[in-house]
Amino acid sequence: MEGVSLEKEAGGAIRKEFSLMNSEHGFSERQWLEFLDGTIEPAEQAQVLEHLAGCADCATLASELVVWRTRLLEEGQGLREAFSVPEEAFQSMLSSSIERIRSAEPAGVRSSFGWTAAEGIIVLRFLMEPICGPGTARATIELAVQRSAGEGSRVTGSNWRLFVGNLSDAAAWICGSAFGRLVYRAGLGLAIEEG
Amino acid sequence: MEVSLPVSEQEAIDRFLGAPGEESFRDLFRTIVPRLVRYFRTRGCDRELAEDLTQEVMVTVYHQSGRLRKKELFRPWLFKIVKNTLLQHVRRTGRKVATVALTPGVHEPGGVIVDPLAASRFNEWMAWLEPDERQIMTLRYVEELEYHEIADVLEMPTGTVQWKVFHSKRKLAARFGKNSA
Repeated sequence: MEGVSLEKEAGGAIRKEFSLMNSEHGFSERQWLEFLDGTIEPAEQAQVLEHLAGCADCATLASELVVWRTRLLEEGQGLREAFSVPEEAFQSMLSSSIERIRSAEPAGVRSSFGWTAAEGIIVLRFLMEPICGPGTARATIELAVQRSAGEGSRVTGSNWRLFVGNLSDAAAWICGSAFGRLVYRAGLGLAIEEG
Repeated sequence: MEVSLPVSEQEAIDRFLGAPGEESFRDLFRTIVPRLVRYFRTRGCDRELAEDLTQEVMVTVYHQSGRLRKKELFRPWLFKIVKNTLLQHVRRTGRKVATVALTPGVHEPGGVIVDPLAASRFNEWMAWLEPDERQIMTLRYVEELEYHEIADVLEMPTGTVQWKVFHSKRKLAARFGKNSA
């Protein structure tokens, strides 16, 4: 026997939900699914197992659900393998995406109180040196500049965000994710002028 | 600084959200792009279109990651972007897109070909479910999302998701039996 419960959603709409709240069996869809997935609380699991030992209907239902869970998992796995991406296609997509990101970088902030990119780099270097040392800070910044602006070019307001992302990425590798986040937030917090 | 060791999806997500640079983006790209391509392919997109839409999604992820408040919400947030990207494409081109590709080997107007690989038993089973049930079952068993993540993507209560999964399985059992091949 199926019961109906009402659930009030945001905005006041009433949604009708059907639940298998059979007074004889007493297990909800949530409990069935968690039992099959192995995520059910131990106390509830014991109740379900005890019930299944004595209820043929529920034992049949459990058996059906186990079979279909297994089949769906296997077919899902098969689909994941069938749609793998060839390496060549993957590299092409990655290069194209990075190119789009670089070309879409927003212009720097135009402000009478703005910093130049060179000044911003000095500020970030002062931030990084006490934690990772002067040599490492300088080398990391140089690497981030090369990756963001290319050989022979410089960081400006237009590629500042990309530079900060690359620098924080490298900082995270060297001194941990918290340090990387700090560098990222500090870098984006600076108003860097265009040009 | 090159990353040579493979990272898990969760590690890649955590690293990118903590410091969104090109290296962390590359790792994230490598771990989640197969999911995205698969999502678009199983909804009737050919390989080229699936890859184009995947790039759109990843560029959006890069630019909007700062808006994500909790890293635990990354997967549902990602799938919302994926879903909306596909909807926008449909609106731009006026093409129909299946919730899950149901008819294998069919050439649709405009050259969108449903790949024969989509003719799996999974799709045969999904044909017997309602569109929202198909969507939920695909997110659960192909994309491996948790119930609460599916609920977030589809903007419905978690209990409703669980109810639909439970009853979808019962429908499949009733239609195909327990012992069918």
